[in-house]
Amino acid sequence: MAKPIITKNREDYPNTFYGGGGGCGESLVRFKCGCFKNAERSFEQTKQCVQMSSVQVLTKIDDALCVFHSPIGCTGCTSFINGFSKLKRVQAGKGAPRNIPYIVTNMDERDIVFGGTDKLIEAVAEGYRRYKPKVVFVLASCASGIIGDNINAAARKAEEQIGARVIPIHCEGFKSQLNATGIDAAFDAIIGYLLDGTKPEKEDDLINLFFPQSLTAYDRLEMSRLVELFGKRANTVPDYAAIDDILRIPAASATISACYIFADHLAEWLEAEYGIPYDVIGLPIGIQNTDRYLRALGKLFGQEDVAEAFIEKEHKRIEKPLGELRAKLAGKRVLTGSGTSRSLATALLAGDLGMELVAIQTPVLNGRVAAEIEVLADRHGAGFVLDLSCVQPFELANIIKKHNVEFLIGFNTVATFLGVPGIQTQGSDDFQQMGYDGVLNLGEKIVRLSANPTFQAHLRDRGYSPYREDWYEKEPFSYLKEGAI
Amino acid sequence: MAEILQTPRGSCALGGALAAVASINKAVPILHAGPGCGVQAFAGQLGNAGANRTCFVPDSFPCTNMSQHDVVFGGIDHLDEVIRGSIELLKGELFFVLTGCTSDIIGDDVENLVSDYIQRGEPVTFANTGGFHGDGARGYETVIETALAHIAPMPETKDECLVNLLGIGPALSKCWSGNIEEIARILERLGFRVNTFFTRGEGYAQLRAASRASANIILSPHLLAEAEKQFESLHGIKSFRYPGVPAGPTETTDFVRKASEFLGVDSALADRVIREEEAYFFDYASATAMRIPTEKIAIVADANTAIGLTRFLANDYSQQVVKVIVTDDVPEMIQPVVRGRLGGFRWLPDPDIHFLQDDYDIKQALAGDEFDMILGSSLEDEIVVPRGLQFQVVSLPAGPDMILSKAYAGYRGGLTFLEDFINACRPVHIPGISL
Repeated sequence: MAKPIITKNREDYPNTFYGGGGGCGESLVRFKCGCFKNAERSFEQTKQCVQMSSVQVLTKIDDALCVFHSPIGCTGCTSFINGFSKLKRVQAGKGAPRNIPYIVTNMDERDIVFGGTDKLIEAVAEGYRRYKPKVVFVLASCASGIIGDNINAAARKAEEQIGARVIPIHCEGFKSQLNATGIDAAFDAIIGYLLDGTKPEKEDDLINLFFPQSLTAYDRLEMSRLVELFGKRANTVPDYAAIDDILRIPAASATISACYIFADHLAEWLEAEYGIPYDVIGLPIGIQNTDRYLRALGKLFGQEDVAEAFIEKEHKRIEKPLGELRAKLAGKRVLTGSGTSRSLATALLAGDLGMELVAIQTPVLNGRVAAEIEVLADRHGAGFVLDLSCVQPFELANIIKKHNVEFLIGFNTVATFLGVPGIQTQGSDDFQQMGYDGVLNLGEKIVRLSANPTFQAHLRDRGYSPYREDWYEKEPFSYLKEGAI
Repeated sequence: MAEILQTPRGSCALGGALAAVASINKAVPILHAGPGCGVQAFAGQLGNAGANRTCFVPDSFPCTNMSQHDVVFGGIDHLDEVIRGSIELLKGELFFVLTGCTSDIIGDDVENLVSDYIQRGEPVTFANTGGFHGDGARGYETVIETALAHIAPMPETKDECLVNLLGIGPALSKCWSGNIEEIARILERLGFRVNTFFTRGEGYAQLRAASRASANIILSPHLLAEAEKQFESLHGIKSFRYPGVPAGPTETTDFVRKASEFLGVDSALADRVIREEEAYFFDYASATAMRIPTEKIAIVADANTAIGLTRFLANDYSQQVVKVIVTDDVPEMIQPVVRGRLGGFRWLPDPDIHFLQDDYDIKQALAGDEFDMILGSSLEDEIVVPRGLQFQVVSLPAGPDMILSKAYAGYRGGLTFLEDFINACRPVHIPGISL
């Protein structure tokens, strides 16, 4: 068994920030000169935790079992994801609906005092008896971490008992300010416990596609289809991958990570260990990012001409319907937000649709993100507001009112209650958002949602927004403690 | 000791408490907890119950997002900032601090901080709701106990016409809010005003008025045992406990008669209400005469729902319930009460009854072929589809369906349940057509 893996926190990498807010131009200047200061918030709303991100990777692996060493509440997101995941799994052609199997040690007051590792070993053994999974992932929690339960030792003991891999994941919720650390914790474990040292036979026509879980079933099909244009096959990870698919990762001839904070470290490791070339790009939402996806594929396969020909053909194909959408959405003031890659990609999409970017909320600022924000500044001008947060709706409410935002792309409730229409892009499993048709789909949805905002107006007029009126007289970043721009 | 559990059907104490506080009008839950707790607790309880409450702060609760630094050095100062910010920013009437595992384990002195706010006359209170204290039902109980101890003042006079309706916890069952409203409607017909606390825009005022009520109605075989004692010792209020949420005419009428006796309602009034409500039910229900389903049924639900639906189908609607799996944590001492309520019917033999929480055990108990319909949670779809069974979701997790004001309880809720039940009994396989 490899030595325990403690993942480095995302915020501990050089030039990486998670708290702040202000004008985009000023922020970029500060970032570039190395004088951007991270700012904590004195008031804040609930964020996401490291474990939730680990879960998004690990519960997607089809023949593995997750065991949570925690009270039952820590399975809330998994339980909720299960509902959607079941549907997506059926859509992906994996057969009849099946619940994600997971077991929780159900830590109680007694376990907090006396420790709960015996229960953890029992849970792994029982889970193995029930499902014979190829791998068991043991997920730590705040509670297990603070009381100091040794999940590494417990995992080792359980592994001896059942004879299958038992992998501890250090995803304690308090561990990091950025939930993306949980993605790293999951992939670091996959590297350290499953991939390191393996030498699978090369598959020249195979490419790794690393996509976050917000990929819809339709997006998944489209992204694989685009790979097939080049005569290659996609190994899409972790979406319903089997352990064998995971073990096949080092066999691939190339890697694309379609998110700035998802499996980028795994892609780098694959290059260092196996010489597999890679590219880290944004989610292929919007024309520019879809172009980039195709160009990245073309370059990795040495088939740039195929990419360029297809891009030209597709641009022509969507020119007319896109023009019609632009005519309807021209100049509409938009705020985009959500996760890192999605917020940035939808801001570019807004440009494709002729909308005016007023503000962007995004959780991480690092070199890759800054480069992306520069692209946005070229496109939209540097006048938009940058809200560096893992979604703090109170700040967004202020920005929406102060800057007369007319449409929100992201988590839309905050806008809806202020009378402003929006679209919830994450968790919408019923349509294709990526690729060129995704541009048209999203554009059409935005047109329809903007066409008749009566319900939003009713909620606004009846005072459903919880914030006091005088909040809108203050600056949106009034609760940043230091380093505020 | 709490046992290991596959796929729990609800959240922890924090999840239940969050659902309860979020359902109190103009109450702001403030979480002194880890960064994921707000979303995990919301998703696990309210999110799995049809997400049917707007919640005063719908998409993001104030939270201290406790970090490594807080674990080592304590997080009270930041909690102070977040409470202050909440009062500045939010149009709340009550600010309810709920602690998570981290704060409870490291021992942050939340009580001391909150008492400073109370001394300054701010409407702030708190409860220890770290997940390891128990399940969602425990969180609901904690919120009620806290409200009684800290919010409801010693009453000067009692209000003879006021009763508290308790036992149906927010997001602890499907249709919980509609069910509360239907039972409240019936009690109002008997001449009472009803504190429901969590529906109809009720909030801080009703919590304060809880101690002025003349009686409590507790609809549950096992919940709120502590609060029941507290009501009696603190405020001299007696409770009428009815095990199970009544659904359909026979059961609801039984509830009305017993509650009327306890509350001293004029029997002529009770008789009139029963007569009218039963007629309303059967006038509609009679239209289903040509489509009475013939399925043999297995019910998988929390005790309150399982009792209500089993008795409704057995006593009123000619159905055969052959198996009942009770999925919430009913203490062993109370299980005989629940068993008693799930049997002893005039026509129907007693169903096969289990008390199980672990999803694997539940699926094992459903392995037989003695039934052809499941009234259960969305987790049962994985066995329903391959076996071609009929299926209706009646319990949690309710899946992606939106559930707003609908009720299964009482006379009118009974009709809504019949609609869902009969509509679910459609042929799954039409020869030659694949659905």
